[in-house]
Amino acid sequence: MTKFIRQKYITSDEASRKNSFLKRLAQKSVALNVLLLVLIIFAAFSYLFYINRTATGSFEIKGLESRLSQLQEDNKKLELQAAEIQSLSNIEEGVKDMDMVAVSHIQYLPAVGSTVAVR
Amino acid sequence: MSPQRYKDKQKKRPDRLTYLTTAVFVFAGLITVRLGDLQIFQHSFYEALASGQHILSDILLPERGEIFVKDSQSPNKLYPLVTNRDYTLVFAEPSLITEPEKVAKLLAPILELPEDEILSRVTKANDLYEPLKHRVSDDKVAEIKKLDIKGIEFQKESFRYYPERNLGAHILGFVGYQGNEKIGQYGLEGYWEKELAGTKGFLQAEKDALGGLVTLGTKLLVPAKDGDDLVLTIDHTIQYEACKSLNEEVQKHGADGGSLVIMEPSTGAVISMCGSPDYNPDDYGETTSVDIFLNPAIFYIYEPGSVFKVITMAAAIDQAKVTPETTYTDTGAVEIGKYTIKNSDGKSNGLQTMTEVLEKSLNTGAIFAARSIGPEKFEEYVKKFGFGQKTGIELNTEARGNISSLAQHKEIYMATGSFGQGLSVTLLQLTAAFGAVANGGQLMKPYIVEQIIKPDGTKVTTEPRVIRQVISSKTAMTVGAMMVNVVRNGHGQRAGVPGYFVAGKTGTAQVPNENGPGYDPYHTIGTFCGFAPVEAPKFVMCVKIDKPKDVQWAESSAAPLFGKMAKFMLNYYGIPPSESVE
Repeated sequence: MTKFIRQKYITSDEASRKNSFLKRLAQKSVALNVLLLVLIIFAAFSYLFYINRTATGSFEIKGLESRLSQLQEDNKKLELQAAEIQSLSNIEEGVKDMDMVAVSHIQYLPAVGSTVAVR
Repeated sequence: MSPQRYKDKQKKRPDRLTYLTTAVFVFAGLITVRLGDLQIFQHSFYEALASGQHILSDILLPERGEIFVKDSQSPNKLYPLVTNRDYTLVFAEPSLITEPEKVAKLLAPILELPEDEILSRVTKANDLYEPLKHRVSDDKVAEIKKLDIKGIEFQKESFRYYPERNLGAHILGFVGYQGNEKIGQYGLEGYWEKELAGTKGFLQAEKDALGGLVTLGTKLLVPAKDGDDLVLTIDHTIQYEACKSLNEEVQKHGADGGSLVIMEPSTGAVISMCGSPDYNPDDYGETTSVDIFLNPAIFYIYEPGSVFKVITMAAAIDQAKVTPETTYTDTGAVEIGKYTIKNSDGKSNGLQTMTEVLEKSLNTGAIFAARSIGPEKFEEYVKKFGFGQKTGIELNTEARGNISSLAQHKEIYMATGSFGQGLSVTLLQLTAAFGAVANGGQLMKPYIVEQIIKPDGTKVTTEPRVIRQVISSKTAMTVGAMMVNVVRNGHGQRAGVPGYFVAGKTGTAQVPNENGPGYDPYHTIGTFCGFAPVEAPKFVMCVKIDKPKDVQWAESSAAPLFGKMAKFMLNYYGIPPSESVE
């Protein structure tokens, strides 16, 4: 006896049990579909939010990078200005303007004398 | 027609829907074929065409390394001798300029260019890019931007900048063009080109409609590697004072030029190196002759003259053939074969000690000392002192000099060589050799780069290197003492500093004739080499003045400059005098 022939002999009780099982299954799959839909919508919104945040972040990074490069440029200009001001030819000019003169004679004092006093 | 036949006919004839379906399929087929052609067979062509619109491809240029010097008074501070400076290139897009005459009139006074020149450039037909002026300052760029001229654009460009202008130009060299490439030439820029230049990088990324980078787009980035920075052994203050004094002295004597090298004897570190006339590397294109770019202290070889007697005497004393007290009879001339060699003043001085040979700079005495060791030993010592070979300093265009005559081991070449004729040397070789006498007989390798700073901050420091022990420390001390006598009692008195034991020797070299044998009777080269203080030498210095017009002897040209710089440095280093000054 094949499987299909055996089917004919299924009692009415069994048939009703089977139907309620299918109904429950159908109800469950609807719930599953709804859940999946919610998950998909959530994932889509999350993705959108993430992309949006990344894009916004990248704009902020670009802004900060541009500020950094501007500050670096300003810093470089100031360094160059400092180097020019500290150049010895400039300092020499400044010394002349301030009427300063070079030291003509240097006297060295011995750090410790040859004689010391005892208390 | 029967209804049945009509029905059959209707069945057989394709309806409008079939036509439409067929048309759609045919059209879709054509599109597929076309797409296949575009996307498969012509893929490469269209990919390249599209890449320009949404792909940003750029070569990333590294920042060239900078060159710094220190100052012994503030050893932790670095002073830039060479750095990079951003300028602006102002260029025109002639196709966008509607009123070229007006544009030329507005720009001419700001860019300091003739109006005609600007006009000819902005009216070039079919020209999309016409550079107007390089190195435009920020102020001028702001002024032009205010005019809001359509078709005038700006582009940032980086150039080398020298805050100290001429200072150390011969050491530094410059960055010039070879084709479209910027290449370091001469000096440090030439020698360290690879290290200073760094490595170019590459960026390929997707760009948006406004030209900005797409954050989440694909990106290929090979970052540029910046060049290494160099910290030199040069002392900022001494270099400035030395170069200024050398230029003043060259001008004062109406000399053709001059050079100066100062070294630390115990390490071989070059503290100062100057050449005169010098140039501003910023304006290297405006110099009239390329000769001016060559560092005279390492490139020009010359017959050093009597300063070489120190080398001869050191060799003879080291071989224990003479002592400072050894005597000989100076008859004023020495006969060698068909040649007669006389003293520079032509005088005969009778019985003379070796100390007096140096004090009075007697050629006959130098020959006596050289003869005592013979030509082979003499050549050996000259080589051991480093002559006839490059010192290996990290600068382009170093010469090796020429001592080939000594290799013949003939007495005449040894004799002329004993007082510095018939052989040629560089001023740096002389300084290193005198440094060996100052350093207890040890010859040190001269070096000028103290530290290399990599882009990641790691530092590579140069360690001093002993080349060889040339003479014994006892010989070195003895020769040093004899040289002090030269400064105290001999021709080098103007190189002395009151209160200090300064060791030194003059050398007035004749200049070989440019056209034929013999020497130019009208010109000399004055050299003075020495070190101080002799008991613990802090510096060794060689000074050279080429063809001075107002004086003949080195004691009046090179020695005073040596004395001036020696005094400055002894004070600068705070070295107290060895004896009281009245």
